[in-house]
Amino acid sequence: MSSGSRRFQKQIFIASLENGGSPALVEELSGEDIELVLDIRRWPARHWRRHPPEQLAPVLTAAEVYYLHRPELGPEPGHWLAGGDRWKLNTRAYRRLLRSREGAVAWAAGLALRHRTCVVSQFAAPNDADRRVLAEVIGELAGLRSLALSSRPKGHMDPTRPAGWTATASAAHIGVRWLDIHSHRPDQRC
Amino acid sequence: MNFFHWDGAPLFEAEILAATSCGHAVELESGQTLERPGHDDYERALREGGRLGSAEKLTDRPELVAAAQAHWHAEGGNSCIFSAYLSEERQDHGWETFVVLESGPAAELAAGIEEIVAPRLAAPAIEIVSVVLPNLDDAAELAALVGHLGALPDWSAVEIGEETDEHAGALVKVGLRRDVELDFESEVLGFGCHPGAARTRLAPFTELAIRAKPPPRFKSHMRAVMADIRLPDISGATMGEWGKETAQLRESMLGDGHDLRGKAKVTFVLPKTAWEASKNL
Repeated sequence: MSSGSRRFQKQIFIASLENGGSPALVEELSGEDIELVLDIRRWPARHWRRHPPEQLAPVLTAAEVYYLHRPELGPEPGHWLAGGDRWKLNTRAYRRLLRSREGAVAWAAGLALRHRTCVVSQFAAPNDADRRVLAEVIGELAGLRSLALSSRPKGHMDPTRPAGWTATASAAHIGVRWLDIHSHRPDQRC
Repeated sequence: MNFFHWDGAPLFEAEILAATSCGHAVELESGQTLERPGHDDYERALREGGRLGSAEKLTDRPELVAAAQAHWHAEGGNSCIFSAYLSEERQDHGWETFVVLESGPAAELAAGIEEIVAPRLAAPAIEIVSVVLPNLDDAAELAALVGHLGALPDWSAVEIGEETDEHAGALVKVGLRRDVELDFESEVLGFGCHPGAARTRLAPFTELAIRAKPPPRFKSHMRAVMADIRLPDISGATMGEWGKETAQLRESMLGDGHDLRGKAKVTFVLPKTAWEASKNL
C-alpha cells in the first residue's frame, strides 16, 4: 500500500447520543480516536434528551474533536414511520433525499476520508437507521467501511423517546448489532 | 489564466538536478556560507543535461521550473526535513504545483491565482497547493500581488512587524492567509530570491505554498499549518529526529537575525516602501 493511500481513513463510525452524559461520550469517541463528529439530528431541540448542539459543540472542541451539525443530511420527519415497538425509517425515501443532496454528501465523504469520523444521531439502536444509512452512503462514495462505535447503552425508558420505543427492543438488538472493534487501534490503521 | 499544472509525479529530471552545482552562496551569521543552487544553476544544469535548448530560458519551460523548485525543497533549501521528504514524493502526499508564467497586472494575477487555488483546496487528496511565479522577481510587483491577494474575499494579509536590514533597508513582515475548510485559516508560506527574505526562503523562484487542509483534530487556534500534515509512513522516533534536525538546521541558517523573518506566520518580507505603495493601488 502506498503512503498516499495510507493518508486516508478506512472506516466511518456511527454512534448514539443516548448512552450517557458528555464525559461518557467523549470517552467513547476518544476510545476510537474519533476526530470529527457529524451530527445529523433534525428533531426539534425539546426532544433532545442529551447533548443539544450548543452544548455538545464546546465539549467536543475542548476534546479536539470537530463538531459539525448538519441536519440537512438527516432524514426528514416524514421519513420516520411510527409503528410496532420501534420507529421505522423509510430508507428508500431517505436515500432518495441523499441522492438529491449529492454535493453535501460528497463534502461529508471528503471529510470522512481525511478525518476519523463518527456520524451521530439521538437514539440508541434499533432506532439508528438514520445514521446507518448515511454512513453507508458516505462509505459507498468514499470507499469506507461503516462500523458502530462500541457502546454501553443504559436501556432505561426515556419519556422523550418517540412513541413505540421500548427498552426491550433496544436490548434485543445490542448483542447482535454492536460490533467489537476494540482490536482495531488507531496505530494499526491501514 | 495560462498556467502549467504539475501533480508532483516523480521527477524525470532528478538525475540532472542532482548534478546541479551550487553557485549561489548564502552568507550565514556565523560567517560561514551555505551553498544553495539558484535559478542560474538550475538553468545551466538542465541545459548541460540536454533538457533545455541553448536558446531557451528556464522560465519558458514551466515543467522544468516546477521540477527545479521541487528539487530545491527536496534538497533542504528551506531547512525543513519534513518538507524535503514531502517534496521528494509529492504525488503520494498531495503536494500540487501550478506554474504561472504570466506577469500581468497584480489584480489580474491575484484573481487568476485564486481561480486556480480555490477548487484544489477543496479536493480531499490535496495537502499543499503551490503556485510558482517564475517571472515575478520585482519586490514592488510582489508587494502589489500580496496586497491584491489579501483584498480578495477568502484571503487576508496581516502586517506582523517591521525590521531594518543593513542591506535591504526598512522591511515589513507580511502574512498572507487563505480560508480553508472547517473555518480554519491557512498560513501561506512564501519563497523566492527577494531582498530581505529569510535565508530559508531563498528559493530559485517566487512561490506561494498554501496548506490546503485544517489539522486532523480540532485546534482552537484555527490555523492550518504545514506541520499538521500526516506522515503515516514515518515512525514517531524518526519524526522526533527530523524535528531536532530541522530545528538545528533552521537555527544555523536563520540565526538570530533572520529568525523572526523565517517564522511560518510570515509569508514575505517586503521593502517597506513597496508595501506602503501597494496599499494605494
